[in-house]
Amino acid sequence: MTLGPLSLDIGRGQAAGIMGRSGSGKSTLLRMLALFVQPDGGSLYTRHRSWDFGAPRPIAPDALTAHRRRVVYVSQDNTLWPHLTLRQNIEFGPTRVLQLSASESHARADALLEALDLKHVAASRTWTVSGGEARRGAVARALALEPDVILLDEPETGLDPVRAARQMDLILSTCERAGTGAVIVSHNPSTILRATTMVHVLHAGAVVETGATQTVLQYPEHAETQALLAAAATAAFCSTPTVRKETL
Amino acid sequence: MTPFEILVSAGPAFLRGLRVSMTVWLLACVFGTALGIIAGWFLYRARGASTITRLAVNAVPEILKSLPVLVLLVWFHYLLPYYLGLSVSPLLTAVVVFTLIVMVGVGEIVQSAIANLPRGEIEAGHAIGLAPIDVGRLIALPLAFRSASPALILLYIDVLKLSTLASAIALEELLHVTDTVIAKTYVAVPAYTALAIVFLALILPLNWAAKKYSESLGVVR
Repeated sequence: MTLGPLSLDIGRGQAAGIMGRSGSGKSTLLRMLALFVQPDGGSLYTRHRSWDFGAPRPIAPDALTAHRRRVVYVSQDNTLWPHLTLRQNIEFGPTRVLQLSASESHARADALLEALDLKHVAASRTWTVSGGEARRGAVARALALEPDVILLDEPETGLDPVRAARQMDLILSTCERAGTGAVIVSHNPSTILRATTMVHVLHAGAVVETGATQTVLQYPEHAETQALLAAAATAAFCSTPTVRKETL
Repeated sequence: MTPFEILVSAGPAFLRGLRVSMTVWLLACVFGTALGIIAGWFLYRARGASTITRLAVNAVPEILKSLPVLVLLVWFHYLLPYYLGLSVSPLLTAVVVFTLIVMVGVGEIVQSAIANLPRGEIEAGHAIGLAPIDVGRLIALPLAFRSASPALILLYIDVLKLSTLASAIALEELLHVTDTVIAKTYVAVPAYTALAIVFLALILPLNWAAKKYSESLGVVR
């Protein structure tokens, strides 16, 4: 699939949204940011390093792992490790990846369990927790590394709107406090509206519209954005999307 | 005579037979598992290889799986020593043959466990910046062991039951002891029932422990 051109700018504690229908390249974009897929061109700048993908050469494994500790991808499958408890899943990164002491890892896990309302299931095996708890557990595991950016792939999937909203509030408030940026992929405009300040609308791998979330969702200019909003019936969540007269 | 009377009167003999059966079983499980893990890895790697390589790698386990255990015991105890000019004890024959049985079973289980490793959970290890070798060691291996454990335990239990076939090469394990008791007492059914009681006492707790272990892993819920 061809993706882009795309320009994404994530500040500390900020959240950007990527919206689009299924197959538009949203998840591919996240995987590219986490370097699970190496781009053919362009650049990637983080606080710690810059990458230039103009020349086709494989990325060194050390550089890859160092990047992924700062830009952590959380897939939509949750993928908590079943041979560990929820707490052990969260402590895994600080202990094994960052080489922190057991007490430091424990303290980080405690703070995240509290912030994400998971204390009551901390000692539970991962297959016994609910879908929402598993999702927050996966996010907590990522945040335990104190990354620069967390990449969330459809974090609200499988949850009813009320739980999804509460979940996003918990996740985003935790990210804000930690100064962690977020890139949130969703095909649900409600999630994007609630969680992000900037949004990019993808269609067939290309960015068709970009801007402040409130503006894009209230005044969609591109037909694809209009179609997404119409299908999601977002009138209940924001004022009726207004199509500018000049686009008609 | 009742089965319990037989157990009491031939108790020391049954205990000797039990010791031999357990020795064969434990040695076969330990060596067979070690060899089976290596075999399973090669079987997994051969999946993507050429047809000739795949056939060559799979030939030995396929042949061993296709042969009756009794035939293997007879071949290893009588045929190989005849052609190689060796003297092989029934105990060694039994350990070798059952090690091969365990190896083939473990190889298949390990191959399947590796092939069916949940990709998402492996990727989650890479996603938090774990080095590839640590993903293998800390995530893939425990996950493979977790998915393989129930099948491995069932295999070990089956091999324990199969160990009675070693009586055909005069190994003094439990069935052989039972046959000796029958030869002296002329009461076949109670004697075999006594043997069944011994196996129930061995295998029922193993089955229960296996079930509890699988439940603790969340593999059986």
